[in-house]
Amino acid sequence: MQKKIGTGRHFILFVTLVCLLWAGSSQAQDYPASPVQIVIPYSPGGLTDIFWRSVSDALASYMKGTIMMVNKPGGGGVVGTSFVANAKPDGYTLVNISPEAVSIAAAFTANMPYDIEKDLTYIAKASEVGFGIAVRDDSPFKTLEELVAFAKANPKKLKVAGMGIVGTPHMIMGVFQREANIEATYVPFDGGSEVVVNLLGGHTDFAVVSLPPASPHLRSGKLRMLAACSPRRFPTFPAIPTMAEKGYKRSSFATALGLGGPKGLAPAIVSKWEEAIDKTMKDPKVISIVEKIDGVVIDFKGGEDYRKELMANFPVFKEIVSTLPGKK
Amino acid sequence: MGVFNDLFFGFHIALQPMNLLYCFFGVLVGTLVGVLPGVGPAAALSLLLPMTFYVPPVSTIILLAGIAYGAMYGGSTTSILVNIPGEAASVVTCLDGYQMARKGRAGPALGIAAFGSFIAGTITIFFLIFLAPTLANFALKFGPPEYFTLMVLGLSIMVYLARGSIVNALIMVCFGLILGTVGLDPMTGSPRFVYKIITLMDGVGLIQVVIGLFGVSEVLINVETIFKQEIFETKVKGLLPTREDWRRSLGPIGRGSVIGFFLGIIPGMSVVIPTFVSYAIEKRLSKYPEKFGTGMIEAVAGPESANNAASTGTLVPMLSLGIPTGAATALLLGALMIHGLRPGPLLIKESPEVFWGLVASLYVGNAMLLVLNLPLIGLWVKILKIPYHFLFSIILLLCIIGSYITNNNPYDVIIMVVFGLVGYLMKKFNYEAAPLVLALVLGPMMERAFQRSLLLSEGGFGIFFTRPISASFLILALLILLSPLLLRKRRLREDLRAGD
Repeated sequence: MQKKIGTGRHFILFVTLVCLLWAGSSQAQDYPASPVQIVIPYSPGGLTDIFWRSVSDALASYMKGTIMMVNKPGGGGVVGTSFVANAKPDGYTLVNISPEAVSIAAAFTANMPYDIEKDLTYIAKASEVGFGIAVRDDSPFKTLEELVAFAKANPKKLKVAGMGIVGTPHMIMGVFQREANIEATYVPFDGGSEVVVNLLGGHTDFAVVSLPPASPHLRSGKLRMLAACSPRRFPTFPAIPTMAEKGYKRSSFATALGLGGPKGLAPAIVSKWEEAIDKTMKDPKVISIVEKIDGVVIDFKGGEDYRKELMANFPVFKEIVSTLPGKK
Repeated sequence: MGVFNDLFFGFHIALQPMNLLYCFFGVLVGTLVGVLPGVGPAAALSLLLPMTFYVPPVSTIILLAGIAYGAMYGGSTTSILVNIPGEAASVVTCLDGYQMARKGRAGPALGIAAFGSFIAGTITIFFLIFLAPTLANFALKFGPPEYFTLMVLGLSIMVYLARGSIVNALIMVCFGLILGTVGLDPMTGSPRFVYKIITLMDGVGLIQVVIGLFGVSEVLINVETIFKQEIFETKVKGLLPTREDWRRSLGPIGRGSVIGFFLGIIPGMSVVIPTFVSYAIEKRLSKYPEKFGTGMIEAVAGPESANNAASTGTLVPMLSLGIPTGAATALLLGALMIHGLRPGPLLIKESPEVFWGLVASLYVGNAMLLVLNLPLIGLWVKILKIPYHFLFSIILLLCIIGSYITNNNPYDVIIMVVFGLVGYLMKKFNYEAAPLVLALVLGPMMERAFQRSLLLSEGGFGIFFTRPISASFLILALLILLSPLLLRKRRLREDLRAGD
C-alpha cells in the first residue's frame, strides 16, 4: 500500500516536471514544440482557405513543426482575427492577415474589437490576388476608354457587380469612379463566383472581379477583361493592360494573403516565420501549385514592409468609406 | 452512341482498383461527416485538400465528390434516430423520420432514406450526362429578381409544412425572418441587432439554431416524459422497408429526384431548400395530408432523395461553367485548379478522363453507399436500445460538439443552448420548428436578392413582373396561396353532398 502511494507521488512529480520542461522548451530555441494553429478567418472553400492549405505542407517542413489550419469565419474576417488578437502571444496561435479584416474593416467599422496598429503583430506577406474590370463577350465595350466614355455620358446608368460590401472591389470602384469622374451603381454580391454568374447572365453591365473565378471564362471567351486592377500585368494573362497603363494610377488595389499574430510576439518567433514563409514562397514545388490557382501572385514581404503597405492604404479607404451612403 | 462510349470510358477509369479505393474512402468519410452533426462536407474536404496533391487529378475529384454526396446519405441517420439533423439538409427528415423511429420503424425509415438516395443518385447522373450544357445556361438566367420571386414561392409553400395551426406556422415564419435580419446589413454593412457581440455579426448560425430547436429541445421534452414511460417502443418492427412502404415511396423518390436536381443547379440555392419543397409537394399530393408529421414514409423518401439529387445538381454549374454553388463545390473546384485542370466550358474537351471518370464514379459511389449503409441500419437501430440516461447525455454532447465545430467558436454553443430552450417552449406551446428554419434559410437570401433587384431597377418594382421567369414564379406563388380557399370550397361542397 505504502509503496503504491509512493509511486503515485513519483508519477505526479514526473508529470509536473515534464510539463514544466515542455512549457520551458516552448519558449526556447526549439519553437515550435507543439502544433501551431493558423486561423483562417474565412469559410472552407474560399481562396484564402485553399491557398493556405495548399502551402501548409511546405511551410510546416520549413518550420520543422506541425501546422493546423482552423477556420473561424465571420464578420468579413473580423471574428477570427479578433480571436487571435486576444490570444496568448506564445506563437502557437497565428492568423491569416488580409486587408479586408485589417485596413478595410477598420476604415469601415465603428467598434472594431481590435486596434490594427497596436493589437496585432505583422509577420509576412505571402501572396496577392489581383482583380480586374470585366464585361461579357457581347458587351459593346471593347476597351476601358469606351466604358468610361459611356459612363460619363450616362451617369448612374451602368451597374457594376462586385464581391461584398466594403471589400477590395468596392474600394477599387470607389477610387476608380473618382479618378475617371464617372458614376455607376455598385451591386454587392456574396462571392466571386456569384459575381461571375450575374455578369455571365447579363444582369449587370460590368464587374470588378478577382481572377480565380473569372479565368475559365476569360479563356473560353465568354468574358472579356478590360483592365487589371493590379500593380503589374497578370502573368497568366499578359495581354490585359493595367489600370495604371490606362491612366488611372490610384485605382489598383490587390488583396493580399499574409500572416500575423497577437501583439507582443517574440521577435525570434516572428523572424523564424518570416524566413520560413520566404523559403516556402521560393520553393519550386509551391510555386508550381500556387501558379495554378489563377490570379494568386507570389509577393513575399517581411512583416514590417507588409504592415507599412496595409497602413498606407488605410487613409485612402477611410476617405472612400466616408462617401458611401449611410456613412456620411 | 457517343455518350455511351464516353460513359464506358468513364467506367473504365472509375473501376480501376486505385480509383475504387479512393471512391470507397470518400463515401466512407462522407457518411461519417454526415452522421456527425455540425461537421459539414466542406470542413472535411478542406482537411483532405493538401493530401490530394500527391494523388492523380481523377482520383482526387472522385475522392472529394464522394465525401460531398456521401454526407447526404449520413445526414439522415441522426435525424431519424435522435432528432438531430446531421446536416441542415436533413431538417425535414426529422419531422416524420423521427416519428417513425418512435413507432419502432427506424429500420424502414433509414432503409428508405438509403434506397431513395441511391435511386435519386442514379437518375440524376443521367440528367447530368444529357442535360448539363443546356441547364447550365438556364441557371445563368437567374438574376436577383428571379431569386427573390423564387424565395417568395418558397415561403408560400411553407403553408403546407404546417401540421397544426396555420396562424402558429405564420408566427414562426415571421420569427425566422426576423432572426434572419440579425447581422450586418448586406447593402450598407451597418450592424443590426448585434449588440456589439462579434459572433452575431454574421447572423444567427443556422446549424446552431437547428441543433438547438430539434436536438436539445427533444432531450428536454423526453426527460420530462420519461417518468410517464412514454418512450420508444423497444421492439423494432423489421429492418427494411416493406412492400407497402415501397409502393408509397416510389412516387416521392422520383419527384424528389427531379426537384432536387433542378433546384440544385441554381447557384446559391442551398441543398436545404429542395428538401422543404419536396416535403410540401408530397403533403400536397397525399391523400392523408393531416397525417404528415406523425411518421409518414413518403415524407422521408421524398426529401432524402431530393438532397442527394441536389448534390448531383450542384455539379452541373461546376463542371460546365466552373461556378461553385456552395463551399463543398468551391473546394472541388480548387482541387481541380491546383491539379492544373480548367473547370469550365472547356473541361469536357480538355480533360475527358476527369469528366467521364467522375460521372461513372458517382454511380459506383452511390452503389457503394447503399452497400455500406444497409448493414449499418441494424447497428444504428440498436442505439435506440441504449438506456435513456446514457443516450440523452450522448445526444447533448453531440449537440455541443456539433454547434462548436462548424465555426470553432465557443459562443456558438451558447446560441445553440438558447435555441434549445426556445425550442422546448415552442414544443410546449405547439409551435413548429420547421417553418422557422426555412424562413431563416430564405430570409437573408431573400433580402439580398430584393435589395440587389432594386439597385438594378433603380428602385422600380416593375422588375419583378416584367421578367418572364420572375413573373411566373409570382403567379405560381399566388395560386398556391389561394388553393386552400378553392379546395376548402370544393371539400365543403362534397361534404354537403355526402350529408344530403
